[in-house]
Amino acid sequence: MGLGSPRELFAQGGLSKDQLIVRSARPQDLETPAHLLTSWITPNELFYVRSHFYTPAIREAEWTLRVDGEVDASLTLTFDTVRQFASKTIAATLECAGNGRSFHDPPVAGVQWGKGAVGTARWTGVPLAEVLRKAGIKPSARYVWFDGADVGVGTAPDFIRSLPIEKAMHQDTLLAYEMNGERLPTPHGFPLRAIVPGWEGAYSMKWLTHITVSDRNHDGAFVQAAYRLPRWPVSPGTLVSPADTVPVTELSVKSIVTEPGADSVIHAGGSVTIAGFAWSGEAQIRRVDLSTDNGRTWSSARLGRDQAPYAWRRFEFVWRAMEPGSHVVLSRATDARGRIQPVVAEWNPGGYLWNAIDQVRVHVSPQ
Amino acid sequence: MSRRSRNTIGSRRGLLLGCLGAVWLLSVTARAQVDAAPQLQAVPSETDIPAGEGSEILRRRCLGCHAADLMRQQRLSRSGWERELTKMISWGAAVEDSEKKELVDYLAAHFGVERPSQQLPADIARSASELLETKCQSCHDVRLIEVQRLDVTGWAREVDKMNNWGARVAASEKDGLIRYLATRFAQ
Repeated sequence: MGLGSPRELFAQGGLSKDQLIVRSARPQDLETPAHLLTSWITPNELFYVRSHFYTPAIREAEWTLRVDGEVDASLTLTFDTVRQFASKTIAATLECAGNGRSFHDPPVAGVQWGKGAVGTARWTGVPLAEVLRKAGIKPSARYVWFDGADVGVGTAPDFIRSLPIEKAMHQDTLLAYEMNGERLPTPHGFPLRAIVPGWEGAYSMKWLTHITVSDRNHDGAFVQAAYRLPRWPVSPGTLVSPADTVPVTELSVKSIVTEPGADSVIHAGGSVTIAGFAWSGEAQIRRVDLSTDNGRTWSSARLGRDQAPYAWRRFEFVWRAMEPGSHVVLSRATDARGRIQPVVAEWNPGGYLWNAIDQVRVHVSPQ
Repeated sequence: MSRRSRNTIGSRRGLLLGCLGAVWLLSVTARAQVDAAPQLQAVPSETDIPAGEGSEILRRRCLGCHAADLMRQQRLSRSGWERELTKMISWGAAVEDSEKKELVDYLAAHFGVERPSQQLPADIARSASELLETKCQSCHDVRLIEVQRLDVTGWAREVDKMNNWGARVAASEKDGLIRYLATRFAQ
């Protein structure tokens, strides 16, 4: 398994380097500019990419998936045998836990994502539970560890993630080989990736090669040190010991305005559509409220028709902009559990789960 | 949030303009090659890092695994960079003990919480820093200056206003002082 050059990878995956923001060329971390998030399903070539290490080039014929640990019989599956399981397709929003990290103050180390490390795709694959049932889960099983074909650079630890058995056995947790009806593109995990819907993106392991069922949590850096939040809110800039942290699991309630773009100019008296997307982990979006006057007054936006249990919901609001001047448009989502997008995002040492009320400045010019 | 997002937008716009410029030039000079290979973006290259003491250590010890764009986007304090370096060394980065201080100094100066004053020529930065002490801090607490987030135009207005109010910044000193202020205490 060698490395593909960025150009080869773009060719294989159909990514448009011109349109995505390169946050890191190598390892490859690409962000979707928010104004290009216009459709409920994000096209593959616009979907954000998060890679911890270099992208492995995998040949389908040589690839296998090993399933072992606390199971009755270990399995080694080829790509064809994975495809023999009954398939399932779900639409799910994936968001990097670090999406919005660049907005945290004081700044936090890591890829400085803006708004666009998020997207929604239709994922087709086999329920993980079916594969685990075939191997036979022992009663001692408590966690499922995912490992992909990517390897740590230098002596960096391997990127391994650990999922509680309940979520692993959930009927909607998939091993996906198709993304929006196409073969899974290489940057998105070809030939097989986990899809852990509603949970932060790093659970959805790409280039999956090894699943270990275990009676304990994994002790690696990407489980015990990274992707964790303080147990309780801390003041910005505080160092937090790993013992005082808990894993990031479900995504937070959040919305982003994708149009008009930041610093757009519109004419007073004209109508402008304010639109964007709202999502909330495993919960449904109940409402999105918009303000066009810096948060003084709020109106309810119309929610789009397309919806699915783990997918974002489009919102739209037609604003007749009467007052000339510079205004801040804000969006605030509320989910079916009553969780509301906060005014102030919770600062944390990893810069995870930024979800403050979104804001976009627009300029209304006099007629 | 607004300060940082403005920075991002500003720099992206600069890149975009750069790209458009490059594409336009190509379309004028190489019109015959319409179907040529896609043009590469005119963005800073993977290995572009500011010159300065410590830059060679970064190039030698870090850019083997990372593209420089990852460093360029960080804004970490000295202790923040120390923690990152310790983690990387534990992950196999071959940084000698003798190189650590210079590397952290470089990282904190160029990719720090404040804008790097090192981007100004050293003589300008030095004389401006003296001006700040003698001509500004005689009346102002330095903390008042440090919390400002102004661009060149904003600082020029402030310096002119202060001169109207009796500050004695000479015409020959103004440009350097304004550039220094706009670099260190920037938007």
